[in-house]
Amino acid sequence: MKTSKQFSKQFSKQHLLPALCTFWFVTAGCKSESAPVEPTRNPPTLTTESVGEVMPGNHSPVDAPPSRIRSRRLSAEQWRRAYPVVLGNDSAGRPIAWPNLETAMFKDALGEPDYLTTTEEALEPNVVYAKYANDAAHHGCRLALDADLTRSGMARVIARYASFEDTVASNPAAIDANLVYLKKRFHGVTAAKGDPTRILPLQKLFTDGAASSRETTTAKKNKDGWMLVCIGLLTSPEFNAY
Amino acid sequence: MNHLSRRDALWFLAATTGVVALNQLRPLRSVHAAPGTNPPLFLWLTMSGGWDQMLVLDPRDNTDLKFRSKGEDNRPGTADAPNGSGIRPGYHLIVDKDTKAVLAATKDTGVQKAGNLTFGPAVPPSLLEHATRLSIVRGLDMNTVAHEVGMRYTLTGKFPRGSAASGSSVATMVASTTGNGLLLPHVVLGGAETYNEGLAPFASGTRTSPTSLRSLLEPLYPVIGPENGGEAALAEYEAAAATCEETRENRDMLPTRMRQMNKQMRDLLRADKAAEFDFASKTPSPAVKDLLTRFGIVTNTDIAGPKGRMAAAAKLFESGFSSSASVVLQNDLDDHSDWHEEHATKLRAGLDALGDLIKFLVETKDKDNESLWSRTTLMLSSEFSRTPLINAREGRDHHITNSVLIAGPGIRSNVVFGATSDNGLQKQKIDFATGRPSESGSYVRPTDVVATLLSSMNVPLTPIENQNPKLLTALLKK
Repeated sequence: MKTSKQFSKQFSKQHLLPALCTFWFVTAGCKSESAPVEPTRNPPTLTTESVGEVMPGNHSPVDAPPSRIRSRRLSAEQWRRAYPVVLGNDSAGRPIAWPNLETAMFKDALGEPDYLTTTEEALEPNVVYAKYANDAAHHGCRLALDADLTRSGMARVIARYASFEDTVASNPAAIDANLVYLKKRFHGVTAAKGDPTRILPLQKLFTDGAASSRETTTAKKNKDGWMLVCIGLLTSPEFNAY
Repeated sequence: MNHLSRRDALWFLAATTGVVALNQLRPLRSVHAAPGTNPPLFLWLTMSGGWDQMLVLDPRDNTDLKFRSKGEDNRPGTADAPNGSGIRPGYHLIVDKDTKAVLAATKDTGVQKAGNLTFGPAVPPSLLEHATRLSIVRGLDMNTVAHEVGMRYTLTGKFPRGSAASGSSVATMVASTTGNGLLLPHVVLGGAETYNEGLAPFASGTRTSPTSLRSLLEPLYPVIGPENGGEAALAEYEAAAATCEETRENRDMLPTRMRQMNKQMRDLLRADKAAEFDFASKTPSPAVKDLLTRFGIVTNTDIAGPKGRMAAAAKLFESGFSSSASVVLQNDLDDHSDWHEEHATKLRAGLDALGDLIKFLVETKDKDNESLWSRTTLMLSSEFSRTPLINAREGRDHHITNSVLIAGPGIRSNVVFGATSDNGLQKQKIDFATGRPSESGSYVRPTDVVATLLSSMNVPLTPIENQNPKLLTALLKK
């Protein structure tokens, strides 16, 4: 094994001259750069080409992030911004948000600093966060589904690939396709149809929701089924932790 | 014979270190939480802003000449104290009528004696009544005069990293051994901070307030299906096995903790106890009405203040929802100016509510017909105290030596442990076996107080072990 002394001696013999030469050339180059440069009068042009619609996140799997990165709970502000993106607009065209999030009591409970008594964000996952996430999900999902009832096809946010008449028994493909879409929309996860851990539990939630509904028509029962799916996705750790 | 190579030795060392570290990270073993038994109760209380300990737990005789200004003319703003004592109680400068009444009753000394303890003039009769159930630690070395640092030091028993809290809240440590299976094991009131570093998730503090408790205990929007059928389906979904994505994100157990919180939340909703915590109702139930009366709650301001916070803690303990509480008892004590105007009033309001809580706990029996107080341990402090001299703005600044009020079934009551000097209220070395000043003793730190309380409750000291805690043995019951 070379000692550091041996190494430095060898280095000086072998590399000192080339290093000095390199330094000289670089220095000389620096001097030459100080000469005035003619400004570019014709900026480069950019040619773009449409490749059609690209689904967000539709890429090959990536490695898990480095293990030193810690998981974090959504802050109140992240929550505030995520809701309209995920749930879209209500039937009046307003972005869906949870109004309680703007009151001091709820801000404090969710750990948002008021910069009077506290300046640090509290991001501990606790029962209060779980409770209000559940409330906000009930509120937001109902608005989104009410809006869906007034729209059709791709204009819908929750029931985009299934009609409100579809059930697991009558149109399993549509239910599955919609669940795969929702899993991607809410959690950013591409799941295969019938995936036993990602899709089937949601399918059961849809069925249970419709079965436990107080409503009398199939469409309204199914709306309650999608409501539970929406709430389940919003209260899931996969939505609330990152 | 094969010799152990250096590489082997390093592998062995790394492996054993890893095992020890993992052991430390494991949630603490439950020492109390036998199902069906009444858990020990714990209250961590703070007076936010820095209190004047001479008005509460470490008084000085206001008539003693060494604490009066030369030719005392009673004017505030006379910063210099005479005779080199560096202390000026200045009780006679306080405008509050209750303080004036105490001065009149104590021949102007301002020092109230109750049992073996002495208190300052801001301590109300409602707390003095329980003096023999309490003990005082004086001369606490806070090692800081920064608000957040001092508060977090008393909150966790560990000196902060910079200004960031280190370790878990004391109430979290206690809840991790006493609160398993409770609906809200550790409740946080009055805007207190709460931390959980590596302890059981259920012990994390739940931040709420007396006015928002109801909203925590009932759904804010209609649920799906009769008899909460939809909620049951959601609970089942949430309890399902973790997906691949969640496992990838589960390095520090955050998703697992969130699942546990979701379960706790649904259990809370199922308990259907919201009406019992509706303190602001115009038509309160008889039980709520009784509680409000006992704590003297009349207005909405009362509900949000010390009275409401103590009433909420009382109700949460009584109902068996919680075993641990972290509470900011009073706010806004940082009186750098005009100390004589409101400081004593605010202290008295907080301590009055505490007196009402102790009375409630003493009088309320659990299912074994034991008083709730018989299993309550408490700690009341502030992030630091205020300077013993009055500054030019008629206020008091930050002072590094502090005091703390403690009590508990494992703590000797009616005892004063430690002391401050009669020269500038300085810390003194204390013999921990006797609680008296001794040159061969040590300074008392918040770590030592926390360790003593935890030890008295048989809660493991593992989370604060790296602070080298020393037990205040004179305060521990044998």
